[in-house]
Amino acid sequence: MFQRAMRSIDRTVEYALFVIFLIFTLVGGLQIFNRFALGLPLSWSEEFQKFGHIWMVFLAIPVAYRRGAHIGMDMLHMLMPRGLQRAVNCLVEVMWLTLAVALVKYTLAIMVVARNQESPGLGLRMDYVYSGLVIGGSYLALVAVRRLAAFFGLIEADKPEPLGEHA
Amino acid sequence: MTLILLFVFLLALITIGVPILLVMGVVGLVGISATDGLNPALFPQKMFAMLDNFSLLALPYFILAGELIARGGISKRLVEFAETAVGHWKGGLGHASVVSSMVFAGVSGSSVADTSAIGSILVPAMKSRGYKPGFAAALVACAGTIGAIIPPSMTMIVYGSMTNVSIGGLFLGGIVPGLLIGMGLMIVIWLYSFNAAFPELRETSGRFQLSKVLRSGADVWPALLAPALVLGGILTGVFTATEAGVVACFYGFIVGFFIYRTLKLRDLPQIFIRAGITTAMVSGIIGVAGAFGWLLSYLNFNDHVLWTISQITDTRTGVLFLLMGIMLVLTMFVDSMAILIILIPVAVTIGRKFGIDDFQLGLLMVMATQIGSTTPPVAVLLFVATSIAGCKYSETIRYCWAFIFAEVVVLLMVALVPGLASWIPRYFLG
Repeated sequence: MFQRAMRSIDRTVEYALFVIFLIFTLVGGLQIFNRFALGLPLSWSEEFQKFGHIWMVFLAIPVAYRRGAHIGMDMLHMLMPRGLQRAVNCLVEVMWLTLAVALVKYTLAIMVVARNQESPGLGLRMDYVYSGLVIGGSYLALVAVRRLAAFFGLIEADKPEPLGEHA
Repeated sequence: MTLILLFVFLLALITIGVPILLVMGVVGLVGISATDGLNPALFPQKMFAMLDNFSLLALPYFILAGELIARGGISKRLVEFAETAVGHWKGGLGHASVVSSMVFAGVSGSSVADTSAIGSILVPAMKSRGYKPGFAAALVACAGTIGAIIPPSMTMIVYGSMTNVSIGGLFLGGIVPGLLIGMGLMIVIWLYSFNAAFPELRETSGRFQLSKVLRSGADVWPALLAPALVLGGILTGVFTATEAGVVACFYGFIVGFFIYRTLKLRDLPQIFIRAGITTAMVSGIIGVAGAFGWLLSYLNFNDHVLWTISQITDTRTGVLFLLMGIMLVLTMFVDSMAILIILIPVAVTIGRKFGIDDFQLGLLMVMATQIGSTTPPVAVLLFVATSIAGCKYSETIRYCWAFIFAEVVVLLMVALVPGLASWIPRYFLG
């Protein structure tokens, strides 16, 4: 039950990533079409794409973490004794959790001020734009907690979903 | 003292295998929190500010375009085309590997994608014709570096978006160095063909026939047209590098969906998700580097480095050689993209202080990161190629040095003759 719920959260986040990326790519195409075909440049499209990119990045960071895709130097790690390797792995999960909690906490602090600001192109309240960091940070924390729980044997570990070699 | 502590933690954590994004994020966060007078909310704010950049959008667009075009099975067709064009020379399959990588570079923008796409087809073919697996792996890995030098290039987008140097200009600047590296690698293959230990390099793939080249060329024209579209648009000032990325995405979709018909609508979510994750792996590091780099500037890191370098040398060439030396040594041990992102702000400060051309410095930095991706012990391109070849890493290392030497020679040429990197962008973009 718990695993199924987690899996559906994972799929929802990945689907959201796809939809955001698709929409801002289409807006990029619309921007070019409007400028060249209609001679009517859009005033909001650059800002839309920038904010879409930021939302996508903060959603994709935890997805890459869950799939073990982030770049690291694992040469020395592979040579370490098993006990030390486990200690480093535990440290990594704790660091991700720390980063996620700090990201959420301090972005919420910024949002209090940002709610009085509007973006120049879209006229969007800036706290809405910053909320992408909070959503991404919260999901990052959820992934880190699950991995820590799996590390200590409290829940079953996720099946590996490697990204493949294409960076 | 704070600076020394930051770097000790940074290097220690990277060395034990903590992901680079995480290391820079946590060290930056702790550094900002521990510095008197700084609010920790600056951490997400500086990350956001770093990513709030229209130029950086070229990165997801070109990654997506590469995924869409590669899905069309273009790499197999490219290899066939390259073999008909240069296969009649001694070491023909080796030359075909270099030419395929150069053409694929105009589509992918990533050296890892270039190495894995071309290597997965050519390495088995080379092995079946008696090439030593380690030699084949070393060759495709070093040829793969061209993927990030001939435009478009993810590494150049990262450099340009962090420094406000024109990404279109960097793309144009990469043409000559990319071609020179290709030529250099082909010269090394040719020289190897005189070595008695490499009889397989004296084999050719039959006679040159223009009709064959034209026939296989008809199969790969979408790949050949992609860089022409991107560069043509930038050269004529019709669109920016970011807009060129959007055009490349739509072009990739049209090629895969309507021309090769290998792309299905149901594949799109996975393609976008993969491209999104790859983007986040790089943009995420750029974001945390924004916060970390801001902290370094606040602590006057750039001034300290500038002062230290001016004590060692005060000539333009000396500074360039010193910077390249630092890059080459560090990228032997740490992932080269991470090193590039960490060093960009300080390198640009130093470069401008000493009057080094922006495009020349950018190209040299990008080339150094690519050479770093092929220099052991930490050499991501050698890892990829070795796993494709199914040989020992030590065997690949044995054969990589001559190819790396050729790349370093081109690096030195670009360092000594700025026009090799800056003439085309200066001529077209001013």
